[in-house]
Amino acid sequence: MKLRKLTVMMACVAVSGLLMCACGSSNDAGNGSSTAGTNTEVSETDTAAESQAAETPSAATGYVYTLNGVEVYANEKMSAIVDQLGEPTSYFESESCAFQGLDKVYTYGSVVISTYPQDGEDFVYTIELKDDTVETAEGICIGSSKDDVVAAYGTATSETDTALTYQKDDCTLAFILDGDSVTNITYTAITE
Amino acid sequence: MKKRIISGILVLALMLGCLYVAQRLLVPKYQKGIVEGSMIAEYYKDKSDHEVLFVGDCEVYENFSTIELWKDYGITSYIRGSAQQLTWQSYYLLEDALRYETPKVVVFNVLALKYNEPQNEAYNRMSIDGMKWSMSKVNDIKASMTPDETFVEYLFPLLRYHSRWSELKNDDFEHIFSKDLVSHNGYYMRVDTKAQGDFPDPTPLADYTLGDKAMGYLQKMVDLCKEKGIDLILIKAPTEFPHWYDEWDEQVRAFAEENGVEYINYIPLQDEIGLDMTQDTYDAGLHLNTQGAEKMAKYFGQYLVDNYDLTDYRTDASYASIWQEKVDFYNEMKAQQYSELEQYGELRSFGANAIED
Repeated sequence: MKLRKLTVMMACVAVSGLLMCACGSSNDAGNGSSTAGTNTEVSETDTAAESQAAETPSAATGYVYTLNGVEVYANEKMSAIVDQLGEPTSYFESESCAFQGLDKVYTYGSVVISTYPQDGEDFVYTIELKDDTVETAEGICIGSSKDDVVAAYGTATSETDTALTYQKDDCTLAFILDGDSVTNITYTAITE
Repeated sequence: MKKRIISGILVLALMLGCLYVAQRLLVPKYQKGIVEGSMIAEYYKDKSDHEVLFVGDCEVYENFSTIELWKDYGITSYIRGSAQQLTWQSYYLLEDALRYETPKVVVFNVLALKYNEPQNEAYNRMSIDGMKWSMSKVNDIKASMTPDETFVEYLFPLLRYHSRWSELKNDDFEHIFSKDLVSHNGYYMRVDTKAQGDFPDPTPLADYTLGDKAMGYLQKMVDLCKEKGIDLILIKAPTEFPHWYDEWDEQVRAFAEENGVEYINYIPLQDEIGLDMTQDTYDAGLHLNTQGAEKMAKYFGQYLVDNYDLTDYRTDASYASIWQEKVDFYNEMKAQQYSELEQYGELRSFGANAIED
């Protein structure tokens, strides 16, 4: 009798242990959480890696900016873009707090691309056009008028005295205005 | 029948015990490398109360030396800081701290106001998991969860961390039931130096309005402090990156005036503080190193004693003995870090190099 009880108890403990391991194995195999980041402990603490695997940023949606013949989308993997564009004119990176990855800024002439880290990869966060030597696919550049913007893009998703903002899929395109004139153009990924 | 009930209870107790041990083993320990996740829980171990309490992100826990505030002014302070601590997290950490003590001054760093939505589970975990259970923690979780997070995984961290079983490190076994102190009353020490370089030009924003949720929690912080008779000081730490826009600064200044609280932006005061960003930062200007944090503490401490009715506890034997232990721990860690710098040219037991493979 005692032996039977002991067996039941041990079986319960063993089952709970097996459940834990099976659960963990399944998860690891399914999402590759341990690949997140450049160091192992990041994958431990950045448990978001597991849940975020289900929402890997989608590329090739929203507004496109064509840089030196290469199409660049918000939320697209930056490594693929760098492979095509080559080394940037200048590069800046900063370590995020508690070693959760690097925020990077690539400058290609008059275009500045910033990225955000996720699951060990860098994704395009913003594309900023800095001067009138570059323009959007719809022909708007620094110095264009507000009317030019409205003619090219239609009614803005949101409008203030100093900005017209358009949204398409997971990308916003903002035209900053000084009076009637565009002073900055920035594509921004919607990451939430 | 009685025997069956007892057997059932024993089996249940054994299973719960196993699950408890498994949870203790599997949750991240944050003892080496990424130690920031240990800092929130360390607060509860502190033996004395504090007249000054900081809440906020890395711009408080890396930029103000609490030990220097003690050594120079006898100010008892604690930093309840965590990486990318969001405004509502600061509010709930303050609310939580007020269950244990009532400081005379609370200091909040305003950079977090730029965030109006939950951001990142890893940072949430570092800010929330270390809190003791209370309604403050419950509400903090609810306010902070990203869409992929669930409350039950905060309630039972094992559900979140079970998959770590295959990547456990020595640290997980060594610190399964106890943890070492990693901070100095919430201050994160780094003595190494990496000079500030050029930062990218700030990107103009379509809308500079600080979000309703963040500003709403700042208002709650103001109201809570007023209710408790605490002076709230809003600060912007002297570091220049990430960029702090003038438009944000104006909004915070207006808010402070409307609510009768102090707001000090230390960025334009770098020279007055004595900061040399070629020497006083360990990560190219994002955060101060210990030399810089001590300068910041000297400057801020003088402001505190000049403007608030704080006590110099250095002559109080009960406080002095407690703080002497803290000073000793601070000096030991400082000596160890300088020793590693001299020997290896970099820190090996702290920061990124200490993260276990």
